[in-house]
Amino acid sequence: MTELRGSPGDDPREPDGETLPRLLRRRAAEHGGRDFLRAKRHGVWSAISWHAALEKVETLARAMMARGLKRGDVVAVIGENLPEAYLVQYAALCAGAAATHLYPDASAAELGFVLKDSGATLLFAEDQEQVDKFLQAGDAKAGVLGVVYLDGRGLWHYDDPMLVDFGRFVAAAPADAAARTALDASIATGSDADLAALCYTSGTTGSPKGVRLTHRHLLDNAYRLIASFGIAPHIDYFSYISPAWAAEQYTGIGLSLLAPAVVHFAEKPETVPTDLREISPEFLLFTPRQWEMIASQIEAQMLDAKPMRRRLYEWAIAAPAQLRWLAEVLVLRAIRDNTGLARARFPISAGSGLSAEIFRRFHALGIPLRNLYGSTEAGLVSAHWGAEAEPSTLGRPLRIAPSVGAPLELRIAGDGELLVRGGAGFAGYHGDDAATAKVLDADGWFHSGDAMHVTGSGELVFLDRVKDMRRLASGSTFPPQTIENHLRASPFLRDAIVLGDESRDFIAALINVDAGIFGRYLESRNIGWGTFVELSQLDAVLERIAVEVAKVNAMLPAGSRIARFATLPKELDADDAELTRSRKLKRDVIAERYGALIESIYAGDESCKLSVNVIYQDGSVGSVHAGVHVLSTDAAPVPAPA
Amino acid sequence: MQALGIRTVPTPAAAGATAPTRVLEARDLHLSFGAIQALVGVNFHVAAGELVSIIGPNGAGKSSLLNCLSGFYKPSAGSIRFAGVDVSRMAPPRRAAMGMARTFQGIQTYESMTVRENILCGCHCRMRTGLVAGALWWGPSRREMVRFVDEAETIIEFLELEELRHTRVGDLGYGLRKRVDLGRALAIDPKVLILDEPMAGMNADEKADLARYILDVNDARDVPVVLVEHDMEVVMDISDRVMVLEWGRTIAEGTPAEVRADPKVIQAYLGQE
Repeated sequence: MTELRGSPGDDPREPDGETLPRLLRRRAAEHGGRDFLRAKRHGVWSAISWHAALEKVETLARAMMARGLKRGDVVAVIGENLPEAYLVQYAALCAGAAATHLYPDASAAELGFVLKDSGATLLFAEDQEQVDKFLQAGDAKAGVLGVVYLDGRGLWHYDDPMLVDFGRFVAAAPADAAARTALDASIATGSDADLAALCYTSGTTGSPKGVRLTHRHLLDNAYRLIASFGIAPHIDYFSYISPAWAAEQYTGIGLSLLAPAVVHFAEKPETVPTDLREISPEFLLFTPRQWEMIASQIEAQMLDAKPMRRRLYEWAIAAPAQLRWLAEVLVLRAIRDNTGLARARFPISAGSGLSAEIFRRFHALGIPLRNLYGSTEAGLVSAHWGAEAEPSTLGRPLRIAPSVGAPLELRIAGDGELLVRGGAGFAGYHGDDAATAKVLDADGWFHSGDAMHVTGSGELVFLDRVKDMRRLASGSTFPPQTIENHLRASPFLRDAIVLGDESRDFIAALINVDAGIFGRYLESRNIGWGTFVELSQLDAVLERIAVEVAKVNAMLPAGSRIARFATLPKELDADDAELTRSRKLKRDVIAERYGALIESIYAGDESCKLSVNVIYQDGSVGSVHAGVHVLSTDAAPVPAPA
Repeated sequence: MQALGIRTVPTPAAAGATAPTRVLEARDLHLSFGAIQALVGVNFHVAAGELVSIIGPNGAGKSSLLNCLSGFYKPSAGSIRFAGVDVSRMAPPRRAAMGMARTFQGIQTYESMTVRENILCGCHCRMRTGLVAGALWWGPSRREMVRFVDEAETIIEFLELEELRHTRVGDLGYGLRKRVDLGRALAIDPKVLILDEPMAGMNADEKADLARYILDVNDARDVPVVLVEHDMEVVMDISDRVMVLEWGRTIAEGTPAEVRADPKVIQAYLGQE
């Protein structure tokens, strides 16, 4: 059993038992006219100062209390990352309530589940799309006192008495002394053990569970980042991931008050690349998929570039140390500037594994990418802080505020599972003590479910989920996720699912090709194609994928190599429940939908006739029929004679 | 969301507050090209907040009617009133300045200009400062420009073109260019919006999008819309009232359901005996 101990932080910005509302008041008193939130509208960035933010938050809080929001209630928020969503959460906290955010693409059923499970009494919905989801939420609507919408477009003819326009909701806030006193009392009596947010786990396993995040937990985790990375006050932070994700709660909601930081919001998701360039944030937190997309974008632009430029780029990212300055001047600075990462001091990847190759590519571009590991329950556990950032590891344990609790203790159990203890700890699942007891033992150890090992220098290396480490019929084990991450590092692949278990003799892979990249690739070779189905089965595509798979096989030990693979005739889609909303694979769904193909792969067939149902955005159902080719690699077992 | 000063919500249209007034009305229009009678005694009107479609086979006189309304053709007889004024003898630019916006068949955007610049062009007829003031970038002209850029941006937001605001219109696909075209028509702050086959050549998705925007213009800004369109599904779906022309004469008029059931319309379209 390996043990690893973290260290206490020495940054003076300790949470000191504060709640977020009290901290917000303190920051407003300290920094008054300085910018707190910046948002872009009509093509122009405008800022909300600390003073203005506090004023808006308190007005909103009085409006909520007037509407019937009580201490201990929950306010639900659904929509894109807008400054209002953050102000709503702070206001709910001022009123003694907590917030639960939903991803903007959550379905009506998911919204219904969260409303019911959290017992939310107020819902803030961004626009007509989100209001419609609420109206379809059936009996989950019962406990909700009102739905406040931010954008009234298309809602002109709705006459549901529950619906209130945000402007009117705020305007109805009582401003009398009694309301102000009640709010002051609510803020003064708040405790750091109060619930601040409910974060629903993504549900890769079973139905989502609401994780209880207290004020103490949020500020503890914000402090872990501040003290470990040395985050300076008023750092420019870019808020992109939904606050439905715990990590954004720690950064956008918690760290923004504790550090404090200036939080920037994109105009809308489509403008993120432009907005990123304009802000050039110093601190940003993306998922590995988003980093992969940025890396693919750069690669795609280079594919489009003239041969001379492409060669210059290739030389620059591999330039020897003594010529690095020249590469900087000619190429690298411009690329960083173009991607909006010129000032990025803390570009962080968190969520799941990022392939080492992509990680290295960012470093070669001069972007100091760092891995961050944590879970919604245990909070942030480890990261690349300090000078080194070894691509294959998740870094060292983060530093904990002495006022919050003991430094982090990590332990690797017999089956390879990582156990965590320390800091504010895990406050439990919402209304589910049985589930809490399963992952939190009597000694306070949180069982992460992640199989890890610790390197000689005391850094964590992720192997796979404990339940996902897989064994072939021969008894040899392999980490499917690691193989998938290697595969995804190729710009030609958008996603990959590795197959193989105790009933199978070899490892196989289902591959979701990247239509954007292949579109260009085929165009440059004068190959025509119509639909995605057609593209996915073209010889040129399969040959290219075979090369990419061979590259990955070369990186893997003999027992973990891919023997056969097939390219999927449709893109994996969250609307078809094949991915979670944060783009994690849902393996059981994929295994069921592509069962026929998987059987063909293992039966040694050369091709398979497949038909799969798809659900379109408007809810209508169609189906994809395709003949899918199955290819073998060098690692394939010699086919048995028929 | 005026209260927080970040996003504004369009105020809901005060529906049915007043009796619908006729914004644009044509009486007994006649138009002929030599021996061909393009319009024969056509009466037409559109009331506040209404969405009226004009349909009919090729050569029925739909475009002729639009051209009379917007002033490109001079009818040989009949009168046209717009916003309570007789505009029968008024030139097209003056009608535009009064708030009559029109888009044309095909693409009429400026290819080398960006989306925002194209939309700003629509504001041009409302700008008051002249060339010299503009060149000097002098107080009033600068203030005016700031105001109109903000208006153009409101339209960009309304039509969800934010990520394309600085993109050259020539680089956009057909559907998006038509959306920019609509944006430019909105920039004249129209009292009536006349759209001539806006959906020709679009795929189903683009049509659905544009129909949504037309409905939103009609709903949110309470702008009456006159639509000439060949796609019957769209017409029947979004119109309050439909008028059917054949050989320059009105053969039917009413709600989409009434028109659909009218034997004369069925005959005109399907050629039944």
